[in-house]
Amino acid sequence: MRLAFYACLLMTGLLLGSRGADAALTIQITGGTEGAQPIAVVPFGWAGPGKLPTDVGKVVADDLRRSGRFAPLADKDLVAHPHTGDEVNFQNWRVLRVDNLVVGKVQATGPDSYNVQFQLFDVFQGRQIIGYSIPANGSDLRGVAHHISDLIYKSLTGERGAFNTRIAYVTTDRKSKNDTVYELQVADSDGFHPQTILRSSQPIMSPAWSPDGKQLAYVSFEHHRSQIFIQNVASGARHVVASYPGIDGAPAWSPDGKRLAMTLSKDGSPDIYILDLSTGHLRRLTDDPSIDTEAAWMPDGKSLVFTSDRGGGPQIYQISADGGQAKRLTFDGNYNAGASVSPDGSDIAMVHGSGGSYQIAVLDLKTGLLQTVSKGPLDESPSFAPNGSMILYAAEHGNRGVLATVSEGGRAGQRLVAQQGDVSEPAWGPFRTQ
Amino acid sequence: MWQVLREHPRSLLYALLVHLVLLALLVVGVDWRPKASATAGQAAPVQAVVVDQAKVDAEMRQLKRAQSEKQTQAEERLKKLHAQAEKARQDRLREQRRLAELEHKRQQQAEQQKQAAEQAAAKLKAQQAAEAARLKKLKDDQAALEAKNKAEQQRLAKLEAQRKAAEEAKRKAAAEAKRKAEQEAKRKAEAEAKRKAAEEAKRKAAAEAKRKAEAEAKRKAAEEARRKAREEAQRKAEAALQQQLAAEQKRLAAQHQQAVQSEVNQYIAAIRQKVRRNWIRPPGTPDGLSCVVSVSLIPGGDVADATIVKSSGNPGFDRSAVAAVYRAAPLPMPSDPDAMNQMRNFNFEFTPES
Repeated sequence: MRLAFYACLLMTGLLLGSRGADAALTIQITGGTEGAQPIAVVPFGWAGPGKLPTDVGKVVADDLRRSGRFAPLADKDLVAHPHTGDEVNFQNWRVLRVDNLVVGKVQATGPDSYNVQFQLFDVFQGRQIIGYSIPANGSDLRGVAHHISDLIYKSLTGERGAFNTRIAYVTTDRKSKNDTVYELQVADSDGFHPQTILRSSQPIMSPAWSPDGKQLAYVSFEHHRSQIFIQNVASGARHVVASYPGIDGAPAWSPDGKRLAMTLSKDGSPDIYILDLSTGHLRRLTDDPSIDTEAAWMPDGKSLVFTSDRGGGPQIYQISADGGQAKRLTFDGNYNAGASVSPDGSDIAMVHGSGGSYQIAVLDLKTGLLQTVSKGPLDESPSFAPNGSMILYAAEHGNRGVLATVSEGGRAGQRLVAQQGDVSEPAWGPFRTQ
Repeated sequence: MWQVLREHPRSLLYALLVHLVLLALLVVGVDWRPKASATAGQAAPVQAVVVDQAKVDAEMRQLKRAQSEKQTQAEERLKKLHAQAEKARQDRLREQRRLAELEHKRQQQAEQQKQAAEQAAAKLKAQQAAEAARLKKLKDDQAALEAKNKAEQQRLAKLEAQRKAAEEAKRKAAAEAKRKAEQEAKRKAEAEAKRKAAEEAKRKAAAEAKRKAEAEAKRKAAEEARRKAREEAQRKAEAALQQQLAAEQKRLAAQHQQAVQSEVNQYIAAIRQKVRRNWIRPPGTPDGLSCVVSVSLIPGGDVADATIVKSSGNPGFDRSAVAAVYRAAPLPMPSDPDAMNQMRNFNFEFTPES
């Protein structure tokens, strides 16, 4: 009896073993090519009077392309133009070897109200991954499109998308020798939909987003001296937070939004100070005869990085938020300045100058490796997207400043839509609170 | 014969001479009767000399006388020859006789020798018989002696027996007295002994029963052991046979499996290449990622299902792996049914670095 039991056990073991052996066939795949994932974004259908107010499909495709993670098919390669899942013949798209397909349509639901519907498909498995119906008003259609991009990005990469965010930058329009207009503008992450929040005949510099995305700190010379303002983006209300003799510049919000780091030269050479926004208490962080400026907070709020020429040329240093000894972080090249810390705190983007060329470079804090991600020759003001996947910076193109993005690692670089005048000092805003 | 010849050389010489003469005569063709005598003697040569008659007459007479003399001499000689021949014949006869005599004598001698041998044999036989007789007598004597000895021994034994009987009688008489004296004590002792013996017997019986039971048990155990051993041997033999069969089947299966495996391996290489070509990794994915995709194929090589069974933790990376499998479809599939079965379900492990 017991023997039979053991025999049974043995047989079971053998069966399981053989099944296990079948399942054990594993084919190792190594290599592959790093590249953008092929995707098809079909122009959205339109059900309403006249022309589709915003080409939602195109906004989505451009967003995805700009991320460097996706390679949308060119419009001419689209074999069909379905707008709903019912109209999709997956075989058409399998032939094109695209992994995913986005279809959608915009429906007018009122004089200035719309309903945007889209579906994301897995082409090979022939199934829908996500599908949403989003109501919008006319001015909001681009925002809805960016929101759709975020949803697609999130479901395909697993990371939060940063398309439906805003950027701030300064434009300089030299109308004549004595008539130069400086504007502080806020636009969508793709540069579209710009809005001027401050206009001045005097220079505006260093816009910085508050962590909640509701306020901007910036430097304005409107009173013929440098002052640091904080302005509510929506209402336009603003106030001065620093107006000291000498330089008042480079404001930077702490991650909790309660403090503002800045550069002041009121006590001699420019040094880093921290202003407690609720109490107005100002604390000096660095005290060095050299120039210390361009502070940026680490995500944990416990330390800051800044630019200092205490070693001769400008280099990036790190210092505790409580002060103390600063630690030099950059050693490659004779010019490293204007640090922007990645959201996860693992990388620092900066302007890296060497041989008369200034490019955006990224320092991997773990390995200490510095990698150049932009072409130059005169790139400046790097700013990480809130998901860390891209860097926004200012570049010189045709003798004027333009905005450009580069995906992390420098694989996909793209200039944003041309603005009026000379564009500089971009800052990528935080995620929008949902 | 040579001996004879040596003994009588002259006779031989004569015989030879006679024979030679006879032979010559035969050749010359002389007539042995008296008229043919011219050549037989030493006739003097004729001398033809012319003489006067007287002389001739005288010579004639002389001649006649000489011829007469001559005749006589020839006759004489012939006689003499006859005599010689006769003598030779006689000699030969004598010789023959002598030879016969010799032969006779030899035969006699042989006869005598034979007789002597026979006599010797007879004598030997007689001797042997005598010896046998002597031996028999000796044996008889011995037997007689032994019989005598035996009789003597018996007599002695009888005497001894008588002596012993007498002693025994005497001893018994003494013993009887003693016995009777001891009997009472003995009886008592015997009662005790009997009791003890009974106990002992009882004990022994019990022991014996126990021994027997044990022996039986032992026997049964041995029997059982033997039976088990037999069964074990049989079982082992069967197992060995089964094992052999299984081994053979295994060998055949292994052979087939090898062929299948070879084909499978070729297709694995082809599949790997095709999937690798179709794998587009997301840019900027961190190092050290790895995911496992479980794949089910339909016979044509198309992907029925591709599912992440071990995630890299990076959805984009996982998705790129699944997409690579689908993108590579249809995957190369072997035609051998067993090989194809092996390729129905398997896993891909995606790792960027080799």
